[in-house]
Amino acid sequence: MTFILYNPDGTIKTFMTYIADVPLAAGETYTETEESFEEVAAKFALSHFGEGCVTVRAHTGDPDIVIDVCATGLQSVSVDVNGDPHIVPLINDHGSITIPTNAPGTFALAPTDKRTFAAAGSGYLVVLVTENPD
Amino acid sequence: MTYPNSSQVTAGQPTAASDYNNLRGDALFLGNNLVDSLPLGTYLRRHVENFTIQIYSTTRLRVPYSVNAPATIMINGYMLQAAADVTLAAGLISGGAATWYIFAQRNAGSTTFTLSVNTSAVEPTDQRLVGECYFDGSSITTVTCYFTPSTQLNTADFDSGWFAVAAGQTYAKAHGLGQMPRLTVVLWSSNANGASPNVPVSVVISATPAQGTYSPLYISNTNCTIVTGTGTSGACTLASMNYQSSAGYYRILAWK
Repeated sequence: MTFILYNPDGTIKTFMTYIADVPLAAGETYTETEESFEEVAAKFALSHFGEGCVTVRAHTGDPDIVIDVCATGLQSVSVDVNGDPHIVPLINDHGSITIPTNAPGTFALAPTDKRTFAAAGSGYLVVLVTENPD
Repeated sequence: MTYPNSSQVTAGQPTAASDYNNLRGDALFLGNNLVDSLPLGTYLRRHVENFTIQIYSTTRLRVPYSVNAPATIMINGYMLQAAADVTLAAGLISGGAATWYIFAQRNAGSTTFTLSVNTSAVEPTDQRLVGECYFDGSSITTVTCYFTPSTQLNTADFDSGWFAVAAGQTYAKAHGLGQMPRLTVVLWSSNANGASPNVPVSVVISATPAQGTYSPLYISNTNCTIVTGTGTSGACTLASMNYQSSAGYYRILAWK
């Protein structure tokens, strides 16, 4: 059993296996699902070379960064990159989105639909591209 | 020291006063002079071993039985040992939130013991204070056995389990300890199942109140609260040498 906690605006704040120890803030609500914690986490997950959550760092001129997008049971999913939605086709639950490294920048990736998918846990990833010191 | 001082006697041999005194000295003082040693019964008066206490069925307590290491305790001079699980009777812990003290109780005609509880820590006759628990008004949230070996860190009194985190959020967890935790640890993992690496979270990077690194944790008598960082650092939930993250999973452990 997993509990999904929602912000007052209806977006997912977090999910967890216990709810009894959570003092809800004003406007926060929760639902419970029979799915396991790992199953909820896998509904929308971003990773780089198999590793999720960890901030990806690159220099300008490095090969472009390919982020694996996993969303279970869908043909495509929309990924929010710095506020812009990008539709990612999925094959066997997996697709990818490429982050360019031609210029410095910070790229925050999250699900566009934050009411269905959590922009937390494995569902949020930051890519930092910094100036090449060489 | 010579031990034992007493020796075998043969049938028909008169027993001298010294034979009796040597036998008594061996029994009470293990052969020592009485000015150098406490009597054995006095020495063992507070003896206890293999004693642990568990929460049982929300509002009850249990001393689990082990055939190889049964709970053993001396109460008011009586040597007692569990022969099965010893479980606190139902309905004894109730009412409002409070700390309840746990006693092992001797009962005439029995070589084992039972459990009793009281909100007072004073030991009545035929009872030994063995631990305490905190009742939050509906269930027991923590239990402490005073005899649990301290050579290893006890299991955390509060364990939040893993939960998903992201930048710019506040996460509060009611620890249920009934007091300020003496030790609190926040762990980060990149895996939903908590697989390694587990990184202790000491700082996150935030843009507010000013750009810098901050401890994300503050604690009170009731809650452990975490405030994750903001900004574009990529280290809003974890800033360590090997890993930086603005998401992932946290687990809070607290000890009273």
